[in-house]
Amino acid sequence: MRKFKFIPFLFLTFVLAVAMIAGCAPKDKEVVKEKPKVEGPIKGGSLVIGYDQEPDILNPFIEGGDMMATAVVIRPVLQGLLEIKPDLTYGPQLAEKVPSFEDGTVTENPFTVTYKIKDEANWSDKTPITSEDVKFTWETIMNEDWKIITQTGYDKIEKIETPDDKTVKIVFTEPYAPWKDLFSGSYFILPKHALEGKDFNAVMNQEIPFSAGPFKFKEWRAGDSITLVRNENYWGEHAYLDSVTFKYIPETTTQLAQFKTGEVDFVYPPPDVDLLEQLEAVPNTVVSIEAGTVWEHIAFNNTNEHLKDVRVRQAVAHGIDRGVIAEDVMKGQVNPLHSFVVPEQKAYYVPAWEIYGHDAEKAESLLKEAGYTKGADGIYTKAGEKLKLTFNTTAGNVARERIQQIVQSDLKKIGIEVEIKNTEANTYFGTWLPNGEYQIGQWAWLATPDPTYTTLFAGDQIPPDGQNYYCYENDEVTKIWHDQDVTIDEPERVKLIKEAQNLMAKDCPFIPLYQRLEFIAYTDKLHGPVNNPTLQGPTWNMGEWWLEK
Amino acid sequence: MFAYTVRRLLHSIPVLILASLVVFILMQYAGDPLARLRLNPHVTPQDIERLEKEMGLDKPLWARYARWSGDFVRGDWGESMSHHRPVLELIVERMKNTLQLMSAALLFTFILAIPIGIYSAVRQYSKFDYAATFFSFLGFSMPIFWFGLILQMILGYYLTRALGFQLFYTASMYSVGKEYDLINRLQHLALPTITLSLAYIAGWSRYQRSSMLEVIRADYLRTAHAKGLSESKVILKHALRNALIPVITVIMLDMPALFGGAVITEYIFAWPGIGRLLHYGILNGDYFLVMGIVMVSAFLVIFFNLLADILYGFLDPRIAYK
Repeated sequence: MRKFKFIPFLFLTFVLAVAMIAGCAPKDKEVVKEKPKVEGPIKGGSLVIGYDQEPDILNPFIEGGDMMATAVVIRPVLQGLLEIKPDLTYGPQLAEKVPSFEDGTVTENPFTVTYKIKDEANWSDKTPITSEDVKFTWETIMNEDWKIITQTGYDKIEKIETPDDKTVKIVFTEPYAPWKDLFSGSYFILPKHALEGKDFNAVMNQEIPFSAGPFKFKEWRAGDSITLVRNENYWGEHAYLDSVTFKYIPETTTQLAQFKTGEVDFVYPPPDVDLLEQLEAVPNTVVSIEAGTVWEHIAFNNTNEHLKDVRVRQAVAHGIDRGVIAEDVMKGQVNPLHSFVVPEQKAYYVPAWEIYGHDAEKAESLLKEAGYTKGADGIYTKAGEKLKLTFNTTAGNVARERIQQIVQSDLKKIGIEVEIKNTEANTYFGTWLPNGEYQIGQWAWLATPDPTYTTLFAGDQIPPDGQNYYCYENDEVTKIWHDQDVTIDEPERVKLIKEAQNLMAKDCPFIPLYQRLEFIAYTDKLHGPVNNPTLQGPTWNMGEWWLEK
Repeated sequence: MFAYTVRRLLHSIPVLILASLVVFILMQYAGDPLARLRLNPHVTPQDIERLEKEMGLDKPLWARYARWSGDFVRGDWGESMSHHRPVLELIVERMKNTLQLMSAALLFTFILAIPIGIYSAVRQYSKFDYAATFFSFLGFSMPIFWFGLILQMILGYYLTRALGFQLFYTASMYSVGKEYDLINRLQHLALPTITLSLAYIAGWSRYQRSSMLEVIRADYLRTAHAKGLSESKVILKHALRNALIPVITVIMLDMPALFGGAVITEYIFAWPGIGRLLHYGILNGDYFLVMGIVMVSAFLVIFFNLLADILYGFLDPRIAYK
């Protein structure tokens, strides 16, 4: 019998062979090379940015366009009257300067804000950007036919006057303190000549056919990438880079591999602390870490039979060691947060929650004061009711689940039993929170440069009227929140917001934990990126970036 | 035969209806298209209410199902709630990419699995057979997710470092600026193809081995040997043709994946295919999109099952459909 020739098992031998090659691969040669001082900035070059989330659509005004992924792509393309800087202040973008009382561009009775648009500002087709465009933008936002995300603030505008091409006079129906957010925060100025008469729900979802910024949209390869190129007709300093491509890589580990092989030059991964060490180990890399504007907190349902007593809430606050949470879960990369205003909002910030140091004795004495007695099992009871609370958050979030365990063991030590029960995010935010179906919860809010929090903390904003999921009611605090919204005088408003923080810290309707991190990593051949922890994202100054040859 | 085909197709209608109903109901609990907005402190409950109304989310479940199925039958697959684009357009666009990846993977599988199966059977209990058996079970039980990431490390990163140039890319479909470069595409295809093929190779080679073993013991093969035919002729001509019949069924049942994609592999390797689209749709409660993809998949499963049965009739004259 002749032997039957078989086809060798190519695949396995192949994998094994490669594994062996990899095994005996030479160690990275230590390149001892003085990095020469590079002359710059240089024009030219293209950059690939690895990002985990692809935008649904590019229109930031309509439902679906509120993603960070959308903001990151359109920030270098569209511009607002003002822009938000990394230090959470406002600077002029299309406007010549930030309006103020001092120079009479902000006036009362009726509350009016006057902007002057930069003379040189024009669209990529060389049409000037005019006051008519601002008016058109407002009319678009208020148009009921479009799926506009939110009209908050814009509905307080009575009319927009356009005395000349470059002057915009915005007249409000009542004083509106967060006015700087309008036409600057998440919305931009739209070109009237390009959009008038078009279906706004459809026209700029897959492409943005115009630009007011240093880059313009080139193409979107669905599921793969979006490419921007330099806007040669930009009215300001032209961008250095020829093109920037956002590659969409959903899996973080893959993103890291792509960064290591140099397939992408820049990564903006989801803020996972465990990833930091790995990124820092990549040679020739710049890693930038910032405390972000998303803040985590532990929330109380203030109508719960135990938690409605302020002393029980305070006891929990004293019982939890927030230092350990920052140290253990966040690997010491963050400090405990002591307010709902983040420290970067310097003018408004008061570390009000500092009064709740980790103090088990104080916690127990507060419980006793509230009429609880310790049972044989070490758990406090009142009127036969055990002090047992359910703690829930979104399932699958590793950091939050770790925090829950720390809280559970901390509170056990002061005689409070905690039961953990989580659900997926949609049920949690869609049903449990709006219906008050929780006792202790944990989720995150986003701090915007303007510190208004009326819809979250005012007593008349309990769902379905607002987002006061805490069911927190304090008439004094409610009044402050409503007052500050119509207080145009800045020092007066600062005083009100500081007062609100102090009052609320005493009531302790929730416990702030920490700010989430924002980090970016990029090849050291790239110059110019400045991490912007606000919703502006890291591409806010992309026009200034340049690559070494 | 024709009557049989028509009957089978008619049978599939209730299956499709049931499948659509179940998935539609499940989707209501999968995700909320407005979840992200609910977390934005600047979006008021009034805004949410207004958007729910515009998207038809305020209507009861049965009304939405009636609306969707009515439109679907008439050829209108609706518009994706997240992408704001027609569902059919999205599916076609992604299916092209998936088809590339899956045909590479299935071809690779076919080329490797069939010979392995044959040789294992012919040399039963040989060292090769034991090795193939061992690696099949290893391949079967290997988590795709883990295996894909390991490949990226070894073949993507370490190999690149050892060679000084990039032979295999770690993810995505093409490099920027090389969208229509064949070599570049193959370099991108390699790792996801290997990842995807692993489990298929393991499965198909096992089927091939067992069906081959059955045939090899048959009397007519002994006769063929006795006639003095060469071994390769006996195996490849007389045995293989018969042994392939059950394998065809298995292959046909794997065919819907050719279009349906592979969620995990596409996700790890950032392949812009239909599996990733489905995954995204489910997470975001985009029920028009999910329903579209599910209906396509359901139809393909039915279609390939039917095709397998019909092919049987051609391959095996003993089987006849009336």
